[in-house]
Amino acid sequence: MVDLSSSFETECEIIDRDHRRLVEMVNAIVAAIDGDHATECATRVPKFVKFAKQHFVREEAFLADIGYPETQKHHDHHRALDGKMATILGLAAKAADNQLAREALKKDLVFFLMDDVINADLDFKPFIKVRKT
Amino acid sequence: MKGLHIHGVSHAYGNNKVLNNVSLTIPTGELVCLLGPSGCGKSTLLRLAAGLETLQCGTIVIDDQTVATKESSLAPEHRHIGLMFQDYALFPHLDIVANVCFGLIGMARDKARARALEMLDQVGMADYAKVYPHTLSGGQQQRIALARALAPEPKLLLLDEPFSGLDTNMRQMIREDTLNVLKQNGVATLMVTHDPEEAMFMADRIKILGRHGRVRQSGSPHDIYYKPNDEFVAGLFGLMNRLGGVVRDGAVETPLGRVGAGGIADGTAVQVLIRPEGIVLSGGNTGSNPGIPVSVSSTHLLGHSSIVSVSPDGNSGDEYFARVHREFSPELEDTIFASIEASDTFVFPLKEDTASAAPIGMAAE
Amino acid sequence: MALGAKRVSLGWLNAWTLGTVAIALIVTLPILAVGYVGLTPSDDIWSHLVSTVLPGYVWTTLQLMALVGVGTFIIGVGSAWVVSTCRFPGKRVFEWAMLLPMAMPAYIIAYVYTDILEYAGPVQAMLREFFGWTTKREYWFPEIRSLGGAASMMTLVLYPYVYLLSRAAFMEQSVCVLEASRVLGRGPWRSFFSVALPLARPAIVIGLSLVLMETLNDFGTVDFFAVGTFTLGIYDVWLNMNNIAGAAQLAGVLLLFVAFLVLSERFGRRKQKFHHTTSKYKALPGYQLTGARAVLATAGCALPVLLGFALPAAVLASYAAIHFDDAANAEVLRHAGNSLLLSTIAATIAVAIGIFMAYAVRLRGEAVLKVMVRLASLGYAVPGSVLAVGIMVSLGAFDNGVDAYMRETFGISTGLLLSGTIAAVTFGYLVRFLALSFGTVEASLGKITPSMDGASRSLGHGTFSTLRRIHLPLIRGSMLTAVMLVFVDCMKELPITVILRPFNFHTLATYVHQFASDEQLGEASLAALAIVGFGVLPVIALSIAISKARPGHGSNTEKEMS
Repeated sequence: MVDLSSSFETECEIIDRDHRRLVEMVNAIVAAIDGDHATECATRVPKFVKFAKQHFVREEAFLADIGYPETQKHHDHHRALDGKMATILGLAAKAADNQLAREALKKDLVFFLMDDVINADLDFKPFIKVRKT
Repeated sequence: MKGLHIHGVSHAYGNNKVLNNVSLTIPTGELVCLLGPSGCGKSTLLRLAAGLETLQCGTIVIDDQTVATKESSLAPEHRHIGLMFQDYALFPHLDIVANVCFGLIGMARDKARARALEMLDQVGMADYAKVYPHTLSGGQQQRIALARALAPEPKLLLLDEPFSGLDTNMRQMIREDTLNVLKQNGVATLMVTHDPEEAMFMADRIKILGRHGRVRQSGSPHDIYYKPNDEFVAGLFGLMNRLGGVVRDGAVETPLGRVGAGGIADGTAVQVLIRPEGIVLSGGNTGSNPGIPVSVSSTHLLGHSSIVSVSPDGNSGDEYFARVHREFSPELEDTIFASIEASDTFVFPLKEDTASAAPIGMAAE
Repeated sequence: MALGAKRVSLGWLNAWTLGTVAIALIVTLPILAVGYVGLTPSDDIWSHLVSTVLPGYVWTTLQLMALVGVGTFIIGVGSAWVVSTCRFPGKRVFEWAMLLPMAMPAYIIAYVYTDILEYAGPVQAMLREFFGWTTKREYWFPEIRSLGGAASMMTLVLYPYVYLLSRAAFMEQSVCVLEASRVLGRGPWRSFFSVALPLARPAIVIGLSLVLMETLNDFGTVDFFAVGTFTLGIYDVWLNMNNIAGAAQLAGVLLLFVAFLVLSERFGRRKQKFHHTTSKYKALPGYQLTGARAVLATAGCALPVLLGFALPAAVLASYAAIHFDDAANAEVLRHAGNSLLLSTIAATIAVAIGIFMAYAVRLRGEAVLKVMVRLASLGYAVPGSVLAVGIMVSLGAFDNGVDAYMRETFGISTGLLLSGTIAAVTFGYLVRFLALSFGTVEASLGKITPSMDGASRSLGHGTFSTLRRIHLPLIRGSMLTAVMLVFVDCMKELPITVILRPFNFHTLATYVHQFASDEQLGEASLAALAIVGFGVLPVIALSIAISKARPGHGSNTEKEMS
């Protein structure tokens, strides 16, 4: 289980709300796997990936809107995650009847979310902070 | 989140930048490995997490507690971390049990002793409690150092090149044992190494640090090996066949055959990297498309595989290395064909700064 | 972002740095005081000094330095070369025995040789009897109480510094370098001059610098022989002419000499780092010497040891046996008690401060700290007489200040609190020998890998706890060595003690000095013998360290670390 503790907050409500939702989704998937409902992965994981992609779109629009100078770089970063999301979807398809796929899926999901998505979003936190004041 | 959270850490010694905006997350129970060439600042990140070095830029959070920012820093002794050095740093004047008890501060003497013996038992060294460190072998010292670091139940374990002092035969066994002990203890672990194989074996996630302390790629061992971001990452895993070319009609023509260029635009100058195991040799008439006929100039048996140098027929100036995982006797074959395995072949745009190269999907024909 | 309660201060405001700065300032105060008083004289003593005594002091001091320098170079380098590259009878003994004269303070052998070489002494009496001379005019005999005599005395006891350092340098030269030279067709002598000597030059420079610092520091010998060097001049201008500003000015000029020596020593140490050719050392096999050459080598090595240690020690022992009586012994015992007390206190404090500073530098490698530590270590180069002047001046100012303040606020006169007390003497020892304890402790701490600190800190122990539980146990041996080195140097110390001691207070050294100056060496022989006895301690320690460090005996650092 992961949670969105204070050090991961961007202090920008629309972004943090998305992050919290993503965290809930990942935790639900992990709980499903741990609770022997791995079959749910086949539906839950695609929903998660879809929401993540929507989040990227919303976030990039927001960054462009506030004039964040490294919006393009962040966009490139999101694009680079496509391969990982494909891997995650692939693992989810196998999760129902493959123990190794379930273990790999849990790890990949958590690192993807906490490191690749949320931790990377902290890059623009200082910019938002300065802009607020 | 329980575990380690590092964001935006940069560090320089004078003008020498060793860490450049490094971020990482390690949930409890997971092991993240920093992999990079020596002198790239891997150990600096470890020392910053431990509090042995002053943070210049960024934040470090352990179990939701911010332990270091640019302004202030929690002393190492208050961070509740375990730290294992390359040289193990066992205290030579204390016996093994006293070494393991050293971090059990404020615990009653007999309780501390019991805990220390329990840890020694876990690493299989319970019989050596009364012995002094200098009488132990490298592998044994490594186990003691691990037990000592884990005894106080740290929130975070930091491992600095933990297996580099061991000889090759020992290494694999100790790696496995260490991994077992770590999983048993469920601690967030950050490990630093320059050995790609070691990182692949130990890590749940690998971060590749390049020159000047930039993160080149992060991902699972599978990601790093099969989807390298750039030639630097691809080149970490040993010998590579490097070929030049230009993309035409979505593919690159090489002397060994056509290679799909993924998403790279036509007309781009590219570099094609093929792992030796990506060049498949066959004696012909095995399939419909056996590949390009080649001649063998030398073969070296390495034990579990052979490295064979081949040149396409009629072009002996070009030489490529192939890895063959079975007995290979070119003198017994009439003709030898080479073909390229897609999963071991990578195409990157030819750029000065490969750091910004976008990852490219691969396909070979 | 909730931060924990216990934060580390990131600035330089911390106990370690502040403590080191405070120590450095207190310890350099006497040197600064000399400079201050010297530059702000109350009357125009300087022009008077320049026109009268100064040129003589400069000339005599330079002559003395030149003679001692050449003498110690020849004996020190020569014996080191023979002992480390040749095999001859007694080589094993000479390896450590060459160090024995270190135990002998120059002033003590000066007393002994004066006693046996003067007109009424046994040597001249024997010569007269043998040749049938009756008066002094009938023959020529060298005057021991002369510049040459003083230089000889100092050479005999100071050459071990050069021996020690150049021997270490010769041992560190890979035998391959020397063999390569010989294979290329150079004989042993030419190999020595063209390869070994240039490679050992930095070490020899350091050794000579130390020797010359000791030469400048010497008071007992030049006082007894009435050789007008700076040190004697300072004493003279101050106590006989009662002019402290003049003494301070002379001390200032002497400091210029010292600065030159410190610079050449630093130069040597810097060079030394580049001169280690290979890391693989093989024990030098040694040229087997036979016949006349072997006899020459043995005699050449034996002579300095005999003259510098064995003979004077034997003479003192025989005098002590003759003059052995209970009343005198009780007095010697009392002075010995003083010496022991002062030396023990000074050595303990010096080592404690040395540990504090060395650990502070280890913990926080700030530039400020390194400068401070270097300042605090300057005392080893400054002659005792100069330090004594500085301490007298600064403690006097302190006492007057406190007295004035107390009278103003409470109407009490505190008088002289520190001046003329054993506290002043102890402080003097501390200033002079701090570098010795610091250097020893620092070298030893340097052998402990920093990962030990990291391991201890990460296991929850703070800086003090880590020092107490890891470093102190690991450097215990060197700590004891440091205590012993400082202790023995304090026992031998003469100029600071003579000038700063309380009225009627004697240490063994001042007691010997007083009696010997009155040509009553016999009475003081037991005390002198005691000083020499203590002086042998560090020689033994050094010999053990040398035999351990010999190639092929395994490095003790490795054992210490693993």
